[in-house]
Amino acid sequence: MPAARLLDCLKAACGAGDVASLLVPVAVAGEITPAAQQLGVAVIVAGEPRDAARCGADGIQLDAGSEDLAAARQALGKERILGVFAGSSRHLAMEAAEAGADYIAFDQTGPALGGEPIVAWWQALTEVPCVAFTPAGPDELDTLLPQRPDFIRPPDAMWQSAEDARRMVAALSQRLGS
Amino acid sequence: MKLAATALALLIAATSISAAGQTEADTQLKEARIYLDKASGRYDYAKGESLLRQAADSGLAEAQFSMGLLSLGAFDNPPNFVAAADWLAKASAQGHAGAEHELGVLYLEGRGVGKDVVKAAALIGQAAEKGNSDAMLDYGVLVFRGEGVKQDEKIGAQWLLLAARRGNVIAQNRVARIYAFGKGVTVDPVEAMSWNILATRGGRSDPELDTMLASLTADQKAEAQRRADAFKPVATP
Repeated sequence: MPAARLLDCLKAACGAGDVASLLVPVAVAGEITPAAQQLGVAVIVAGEPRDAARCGADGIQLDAGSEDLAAARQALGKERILGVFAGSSRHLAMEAAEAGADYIAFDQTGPALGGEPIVAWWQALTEVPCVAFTPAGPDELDTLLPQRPDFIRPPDAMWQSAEDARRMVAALSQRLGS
Repeated sequence: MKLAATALALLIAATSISAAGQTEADTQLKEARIYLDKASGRYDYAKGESLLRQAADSGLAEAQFSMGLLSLGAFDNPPNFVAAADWLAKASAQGHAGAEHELGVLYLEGRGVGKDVVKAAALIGQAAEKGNSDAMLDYGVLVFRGEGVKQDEKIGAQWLLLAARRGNVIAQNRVARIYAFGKGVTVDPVEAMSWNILATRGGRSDPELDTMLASLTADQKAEAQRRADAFKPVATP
């Protein structure tokens, strides 16, 4: 996606709701970071600590298990955010939190373990914030919101155009009561 | 374009074959369970085992798991750990949580397979992540002790708690102990007593804990009792 369209969509999204952060691949991070930050959006790079430093991004998101989280935490220092995607693994999430992750991203559609869906379980367990990282549209919020995720991720269809972004974020925000 | 159409047609044909095959195996499994149920009035071990084997041979994970349990010694079979490991590996390859757990235990003990604690912990962990409460308990213990997996008392404690909340009585006793002694969690005698009440209720009493917790105040005891009475096990998937 061209950076210009990404930015248009982001602007429209910010006008329609409470957008906290933007996760971007390394390839567009440099181009998009300053403009996104001006909109009050924290920019998280899907990459290495040095990628965040190079473009002045607010942090990075890594996959749990595949990376040395403690080393990344150290390289990032305290000012930058370390997010960790733990899939639907409770074990990886707990390890990541112990390694100093600032937030955990979950695939909230994994095994719910009966009455204990992963997001609800996490929120009862720890103060470390979590993202319901599998894209959720307004209809999916019925099951998701009672689990009290700190952040949610809109469906990727929002990136098709500024209007799509506005409409999607507005619809989600309405359900969030913001 | 034509090629795509052919591919689509092939795809549909393949799906319907496997759907039909699946149904037959499902029926075999269902019937096998009736023949293997001593209370069904139609108990016939030979028939049941034969049907179960057919369902397992056609690839049904649940049937492969059950064959594994037969080989482990269910129905007073002489245990054949090599055969058990073989069936369990087949079901486990399809992601069957119960099979992952049982196979993990075989690797842990080196029965029917070469002892491999790391592999054991990985298999038991997979089953735990899927909500198998026995696996949650075993994985909690492995993580707590650092067997085959990085030692971490806090994380181990949380796995024990997940199993305890599912109503696993042994896990409830372990959780009572970790709260009593403050291992992996902050010491909490009321929580310890509450889990000890539940474990005792489930048949797992612990005289050492009883003695230790006898010194709680009347208020603490009442609160522990209240929590235990309010306990509802989380549903097991």
